[in-house]
Amino acid sequence: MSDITIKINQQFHQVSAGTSITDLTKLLSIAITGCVFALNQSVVPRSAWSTTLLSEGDQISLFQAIAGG
Amino acid sequence: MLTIANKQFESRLFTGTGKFANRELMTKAIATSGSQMATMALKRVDLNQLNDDILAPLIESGVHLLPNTSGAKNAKDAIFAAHLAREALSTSWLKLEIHPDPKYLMPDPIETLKAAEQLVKDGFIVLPYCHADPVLCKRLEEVGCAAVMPLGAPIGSNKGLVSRDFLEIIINQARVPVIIDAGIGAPSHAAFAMELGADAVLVNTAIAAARDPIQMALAFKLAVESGRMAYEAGLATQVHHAIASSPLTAFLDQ
Repeated sequence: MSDITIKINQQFHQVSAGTSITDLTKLLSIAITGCVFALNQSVVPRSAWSTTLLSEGDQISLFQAIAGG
Repeated sequence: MLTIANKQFESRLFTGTGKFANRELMTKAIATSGSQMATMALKRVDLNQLNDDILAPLIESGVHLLPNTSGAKNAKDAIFAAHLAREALSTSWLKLEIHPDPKYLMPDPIETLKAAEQLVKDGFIVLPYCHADPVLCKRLEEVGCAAVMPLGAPIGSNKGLVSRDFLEIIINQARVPVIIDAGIGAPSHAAFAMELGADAVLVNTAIAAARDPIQMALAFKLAVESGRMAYEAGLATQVHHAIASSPLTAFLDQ
C-alpha cells in the first residue's frame, strides 16, 4: 500500500494510505485516555476513530488533558 | 448541599490541578481538600515529549472533572476547545475561560458571553470564569450558564477578594451558584468568601504552591466549612460604635 503524508501538530509524518485514527494512536504509542483528535479543524468523536481514514495532506491536531486551574 | 446543574456537591471547595510539583502531591492534596470537582486543561501534544498521565489517578479518585478552555483568546477558540474537551474527558461540564492578555489574564466579557450562549445551545454545562461584574454575571445566567465564576483578584495573584463589593452584589442577585474563582491566596480569603454567601470557591495556586500543599489543602477545607457554617448561622450586624457585651451596671461607683 502506498504512503501518504499527513501533518500531526505541525509535524510531517508518513503513514500508509487507509490508516485510521485508531491506527494512529498505536503508531504514535500514545495513551488514549484524555486524548482527542481534530481532523482539519473538526473534532473527531471517539466513536468514529476506527472509521475515520486519513488522506494525503490531512492536518491532524492531537490534544491531551493536562493539569490546569 | 450545593447543587450545580443536576449534580450535588457536599464540598464547597473546588480545586485546580495545575502547578503541583508532581502528580502524587496533586492527588493527595485534592483528596485531603475533600474537593469533589477539579479543573483540567487541554494542551496540544508534543509528540517528542509526552506528558505525565495525571488523568488516571484523578479518575481513580472519583473527583468530578471540569475541563477548562484556557488558552482560548476568543469565542471561536473557546467553542473549539470546549468540543475537544467534551470528547477528551467525556463530560459536558466546562469551565469557560477566555483571556486574550497573558499579563493580567483578564477574562474577555464580550467573547465569554458570546461563547457561553453558543455552548449552552450545544448542550454544555457552562461555568464561566468572568470578572466580578454584576451585570455580566446576570447576562451569563440569562443565557443559561449553570453557575458563574467571578474573580476575587487576578489568577495566581493570591490577593484575596479585591472585588469584594461587586461580589456581594453578584451573590445577592444570582439565581445560579456563585463560585469565587481566582485570587484566593489564603484560607482566610476562602472563609471570607463563604461568609459573604458565595456558594463555593475554586482554589489552585494557593494550595499547589504552598510549602506543604497537603496541609494547606486541609486548611482550605476547614476554612470553607467554617465560612459556610458562619454564613448559615447568620453573622451579627456590623455597627460603627461600641455595644457592650456585658451589662453596664456601674456597680464599682455605687
